[in-house]
Amino acid sequence: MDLSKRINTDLSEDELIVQLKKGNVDSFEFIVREYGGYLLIIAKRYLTSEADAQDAVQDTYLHVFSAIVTFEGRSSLKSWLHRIVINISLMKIRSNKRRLVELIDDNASFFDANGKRIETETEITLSLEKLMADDSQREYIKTQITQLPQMAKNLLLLKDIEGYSTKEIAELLDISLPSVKTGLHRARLLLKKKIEHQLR
Amino acid sequence: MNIEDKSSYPSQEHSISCESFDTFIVDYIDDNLQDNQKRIFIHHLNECPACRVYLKNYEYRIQLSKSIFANDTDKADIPNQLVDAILAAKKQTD
Ligand SMILES: [Zn+2]
Repeated sequence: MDLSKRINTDLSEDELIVQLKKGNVDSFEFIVREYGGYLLIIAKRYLTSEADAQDAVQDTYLHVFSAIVTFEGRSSLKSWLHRIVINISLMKIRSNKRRLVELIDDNASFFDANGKRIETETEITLSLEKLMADDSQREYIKTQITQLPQMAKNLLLLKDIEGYSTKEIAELLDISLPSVKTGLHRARLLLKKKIEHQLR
Repeated sequence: MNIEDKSSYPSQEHSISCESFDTFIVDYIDDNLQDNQKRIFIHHLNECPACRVYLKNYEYRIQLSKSIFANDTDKADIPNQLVDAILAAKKQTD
């Protein structure tokens, strides 16, 4: 490839999008190299197999190639790609017919007959900085998150890690807003159960 | 209701159980509660030490989840073979 023709990073995002809309091959290759690794990491959060994640990234770019003409630039190119790869990853989970796992709903065990909390926790005193500095601790907690039942994992990733709103998540997962909220709460409690002993 | 009139609340109608408190948490953290719901929530928080610690730890773990994944996209490399596959697939659609 003629290097002089290569799109370089000095190109503004607006110019890049213009080139993409024109069907410029170099600009397409540029966004594959520029954002592909990032999208692969995002896809791997949802899809446990490397092959599935790579498929999701490839599908994302093929979708982008045809959909770029409709891109209005209301978000950055990167967050647009981010959303597409999540959509495609979630679709793959659904098409794998993997059952959406029911989340624990035996809340009753946390409260007495009057709805009063049974157990009084002690406050976590371990500082977040200290915890984050400990590689093995961090890896352990990360594994606990990625090994949650699929639905719980998706809800935690979308909300607490990717930062989507509960409304957006309802759309992405095609479930009702109340289901997102109760599911998210239960997912967080599920994680609590898994990591609580690590935080003491 | 006159907000200044402290005698009008807390009253029965402002009391919720810890279990109901739980159902408000997601919206509270997102600041999605309506004013009256928020008032009820905060009222319970002030009255109930167990829920206070519970909420604090709950928020801690959310922060923790966020931090755990915060930097994992820094070293984002795409395998060359995947780049080639994508470009080849695109060519087919041209
Ligand atoms: Zn309480």
